[in-house]
Amino acid sequence: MTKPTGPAGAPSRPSAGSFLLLHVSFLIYSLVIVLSKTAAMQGWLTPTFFLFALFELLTLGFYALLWQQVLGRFKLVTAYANKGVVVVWNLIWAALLFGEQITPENLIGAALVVAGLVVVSSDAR
Amino acid sequence: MRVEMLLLIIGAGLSAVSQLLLKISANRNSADGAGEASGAAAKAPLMQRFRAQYLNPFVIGGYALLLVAMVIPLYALKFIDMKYAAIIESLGYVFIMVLSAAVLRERITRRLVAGIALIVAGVIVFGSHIIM
Repeated sequence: MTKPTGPAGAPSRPSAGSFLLLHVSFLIYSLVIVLSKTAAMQGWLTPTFFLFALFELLTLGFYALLWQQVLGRFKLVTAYANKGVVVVWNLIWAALLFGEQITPENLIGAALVVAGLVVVSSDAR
Repeated sequence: MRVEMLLLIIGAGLSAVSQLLLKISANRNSADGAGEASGAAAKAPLMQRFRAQYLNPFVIGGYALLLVAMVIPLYALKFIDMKYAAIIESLGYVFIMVLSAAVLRERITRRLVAGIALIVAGVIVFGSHIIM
């Protein structure tokens, strides 16, 4: 099913631009979660609830557009593994935007994820 | 095993299959457009490319399946603790790895497995304050 883009089924390493696209996609995906949380914090079915829910849906649609382009540039296993970075974004948004308490487990978990991302990305063919 | 737990696992499995469908579409399109001989396909009008890349049975089916995959856990989580959500999320990485190797014939290197193991461990530790 896969079409190798290089000799002997070994596609070349994705470019820096591809990695940028990958990470912009997940940053946008993390914003979907932020918008979802913001919508949930509004009164149920109030006008601002619908406003944020609409933003969320539009952002999700934009993410879906980008994701298809990401999948064209990476193996599925690599692209999906990088989704772990959303944990790190969640941590940043939770602290910056929502003033949530960050636990040691959160920090250790995020550090493990970042270590995993470095290892996975060093193998991104 | 409780039936709700099974529902969560099924949800994670369907979600992985939906990613598989999206990837199959992406592979077909890059096979059409990225080849040197078919430069014309890459230069096709925007709407035509959009239709080819997004409005095909794989992408539409993939997102329909993802919708189902997201509703199932929503139902299941009403009855079991949130703590299982992180574990099920981790299962997604494993399911994707298996499907990528089995269906797409992607090469799963030892380095990739090690990296994904670290990510899964991180996701579980990150959510462990809910578990404890």
